[in-house]
Amino acid sequence: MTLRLEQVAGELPAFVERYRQGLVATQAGIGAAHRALGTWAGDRAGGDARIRAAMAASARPYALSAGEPPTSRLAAPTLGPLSVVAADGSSIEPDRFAPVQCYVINTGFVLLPYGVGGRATLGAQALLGPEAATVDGEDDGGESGGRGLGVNLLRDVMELEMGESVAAEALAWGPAALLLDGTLLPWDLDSRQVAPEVREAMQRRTEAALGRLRAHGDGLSLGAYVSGSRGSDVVTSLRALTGGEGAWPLADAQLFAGLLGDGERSAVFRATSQRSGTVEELPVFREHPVWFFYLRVGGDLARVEVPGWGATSGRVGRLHAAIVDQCARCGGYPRALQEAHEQAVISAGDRLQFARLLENEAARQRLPAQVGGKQMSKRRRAI
Amino acid sequence: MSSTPRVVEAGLRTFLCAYEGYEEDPFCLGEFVVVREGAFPALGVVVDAASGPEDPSRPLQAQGAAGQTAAEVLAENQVLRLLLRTRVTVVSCGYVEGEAIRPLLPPAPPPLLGRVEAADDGEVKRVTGDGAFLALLVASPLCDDAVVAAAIRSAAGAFAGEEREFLVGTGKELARLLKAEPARLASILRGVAG
Repeated sequence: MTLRLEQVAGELPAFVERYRQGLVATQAGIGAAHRALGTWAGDRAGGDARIRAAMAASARPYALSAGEPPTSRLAAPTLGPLSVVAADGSSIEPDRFAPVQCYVINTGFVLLPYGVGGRATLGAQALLGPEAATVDGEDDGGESGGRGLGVNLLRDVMELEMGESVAAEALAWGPAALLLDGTLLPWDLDSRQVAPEVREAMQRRTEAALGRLRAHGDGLSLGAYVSGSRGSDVVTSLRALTGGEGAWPLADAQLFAGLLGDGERSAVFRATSQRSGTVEELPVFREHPVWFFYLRVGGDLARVEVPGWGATSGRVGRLHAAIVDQCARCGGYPRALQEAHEQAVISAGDRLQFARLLENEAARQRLPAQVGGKQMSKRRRAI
Repeated sequence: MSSTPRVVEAGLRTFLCAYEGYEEDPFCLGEFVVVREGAFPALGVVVDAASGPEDPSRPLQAQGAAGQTAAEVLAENQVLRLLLRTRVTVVSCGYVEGEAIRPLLPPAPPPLLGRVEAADDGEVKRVTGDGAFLALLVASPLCDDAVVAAAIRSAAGAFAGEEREFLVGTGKELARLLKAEPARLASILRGVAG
């Protein structure tokens, strides 16, 4: 046995009870936040001005209104014929015990036509990198050099590029909705742990891909889907409006869970902050600002991020209807995203097979084996 | 969808073939098929066909609005066809060697990914004409009485105008093979009579 469950199981009831009590304590805060939302809806310009003033002294992300009353709860419009496109990625991080430092990124994609021409398509594209083999030394702190090489960042950028490429094909048949898993802008785009030259290259590629998506015009709706979102931009803004003290909802989802019915979406908000050194300061954010809305699907409160230029009522309506329909086809999660994930996923068996292929090729080329003691002990597990 | 199935598992006695996706109209039970590739093109009889998820860890969920037919649900959800597979199991009953078709186990399995096609009437007549193919079928644990009867009915269809002679000869060969199993013989003959 590796985990002695009896050592933690006894503490679980009290642990969960404390969490439950915390939720109960936030109920009053949720009520106050709802009232603040109403106040904001009554004076959007004034509310936005107060939020802007508050965030000048804060490092937290905020939300500003974006044309729709913040209290809006909108049902999905009727879904017309369209293609739904999705892309998702998976990766094998560099293993510092491996004979050669490399990574694999597998980008899955899906094209699902509904009432338009074209054929359903599933597929994946694998990439071995980096292009130039790295022989530099690394710090000893980490298990791998994946973060420095920006593998996660590259994977996210490749998802965006793949999605754009497949969406371009789909648009030949009619309108399309492109769904991405996670945030609209790659999570590590501003990460100091990624080498600067890698980060800058990825920022340029992200901007280029979003530029191509924008150029596709009104026929394309783009949305990045965050299931079970823990974002807090809106409740942070509401707190700034009220100067609220005491218990306050920790996440926007807690606020909108009590507002939205199944299949309904919130108003669209603009994500903003005056944090320094973060993605909001990058040219890509200025060119493609992140706007978002919340959507309730069953018990899930998802955050859907869209580029500011894609937040027109027609594009958002199509996106909203497409997501609700996709979720109905797949037990509460967009079918296209699930299948893109299934195409991308790299199984434990695949990972092992790749490691063996790499070792065999290194041995064939008579590379010295770099078998560390820790690696050997994990493999041997002798007693 | 109507793709050509291909061999995905190959053995001397049996081979498994799969369509590219879900096939509503696969080869029939007892149908004679042939893989016309490899050193010894193989003939066999379809003993089983099954459709389901390609990935067994992802069970197919019942879905579709009330009143929708299966065809309508599949038309609305094209992706399902790509996630499903139809597989057909075949028991070998002969092979081609030069100009001859021999009702024996092939010396080598058919090639993986070989195309599996319906045997034509000439091939069926040549592999079944002397009744020797029955020995391989009745000896196979995959061929129950219903399969053997279906294969005989299928083969008889290739003997247009000579069906009675073929059935009489096949009946005699079956009686010889199953003289110690009269109950099984009777069961197969009832199946042939339909």
